[in-house]
Amino acid sequence: MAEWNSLREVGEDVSPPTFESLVRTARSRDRRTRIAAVTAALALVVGAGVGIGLRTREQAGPPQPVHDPAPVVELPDGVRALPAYRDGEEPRALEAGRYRVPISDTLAIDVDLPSGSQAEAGGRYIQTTNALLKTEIATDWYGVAEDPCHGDGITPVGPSVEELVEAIRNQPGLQVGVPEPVTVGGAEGQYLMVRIAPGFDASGCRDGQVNLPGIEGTNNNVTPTYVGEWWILDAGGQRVVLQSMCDPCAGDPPRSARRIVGSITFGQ
Amino acid sequence: MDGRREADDLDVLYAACYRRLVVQMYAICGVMADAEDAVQEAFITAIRKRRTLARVQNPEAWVRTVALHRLHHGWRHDAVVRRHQAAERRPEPASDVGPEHVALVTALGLLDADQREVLVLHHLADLSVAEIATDLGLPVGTVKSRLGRGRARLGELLAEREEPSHG
Repeated sequence: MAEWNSLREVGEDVSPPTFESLVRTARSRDRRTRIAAVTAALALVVGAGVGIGLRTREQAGPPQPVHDPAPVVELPDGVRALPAYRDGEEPRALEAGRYRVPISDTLAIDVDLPSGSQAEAGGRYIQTTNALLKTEIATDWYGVAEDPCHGDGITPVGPSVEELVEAIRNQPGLQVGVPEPVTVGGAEGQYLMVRIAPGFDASGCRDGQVNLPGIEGTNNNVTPTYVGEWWILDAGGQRVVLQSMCDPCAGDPPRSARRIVGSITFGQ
Repeated sequence: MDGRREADDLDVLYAACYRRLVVQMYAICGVMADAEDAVQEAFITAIRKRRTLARVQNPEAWVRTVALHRLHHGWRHDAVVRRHQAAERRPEPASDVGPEHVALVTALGLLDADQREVLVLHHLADLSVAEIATDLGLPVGTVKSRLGRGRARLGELLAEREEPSHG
């Protein structure tokens, strides 16, 4: 039928977007999926653990009857709790202020956030207008990428801060600055500036991205322009990793992440 | 198959079949922007699931099925088209649309959705009845009956349009 052939010819007027633009969208969604996975994992931890009340493991004890709610830790004056979100709800822009960000069932950070910041995944990702900060406990599962290009495997490293710092410095694909002693909120540790090694060809990597250290399933993958600042700390016996993530990054990472990290104190 | 090879293959598939898939989706949904949305989203899914795609025998059919699902679910994401094409795409060539295909798309739009889909896959995507049955998960007999009724109804609709108006 002539009509069908006429319809086929319409395709000649269709202008496909570049394939690369679709790849970028796919990568972006992959990242969001990772964040969603972190959200789900954190929700499980919070739900199965001792809850937002931040009770210690010792205090938690066996499951309690539902009429005996967990005690809620009172926040210091001037410190606000992060808003709770329903599943799928987009995080709202926060007012400027000091917020409590739980990072485990026994540890939290209090941090000054500028207006417009957003806290995703229960605060594991804090996004300001020009910086992204990831905060997490470096558990026994935390380590470096088995392969910087392919797969999702992580080789656990530990248990000390020093071991993790050394492993990150030796992960292929990364160019890591000389570790600098640092103290954040009273917790001592090491500061690292991390880039993708200039001679590392990431074009053959999955999505052209390099796997960062982290916990399998929630570690991030980044493009060759990535610049990250890492603070690897010992907070009362728990390894804490704070990392600012600038990707794509033109030049040096934003200093606002340092200011946020500089405002951190640890709580329970 | 390594990651680079997979990406190259998908790039080639995209270049080869994007336009015809858009036309097929356009014939089914009647809105070019929705058709482009569906196909772009299908390719984004393909990129994210490229390892799955590497194992399928007919990648184009896989992408088409994903695009069809987008249409089935009434999925809309107008921003996709705007985001990817705003800077580089020419204005919609509405004035280039020929009367023959306008009449066809209009008539297709008046068909039952199931009949329309089968007709488009058969006449525009050049799929056999068996292939349509496989892609849509339908019995061959169902495809045949939809095709037959759809053809008959489409013929009536096109004939009506060709008849002179009696005022």
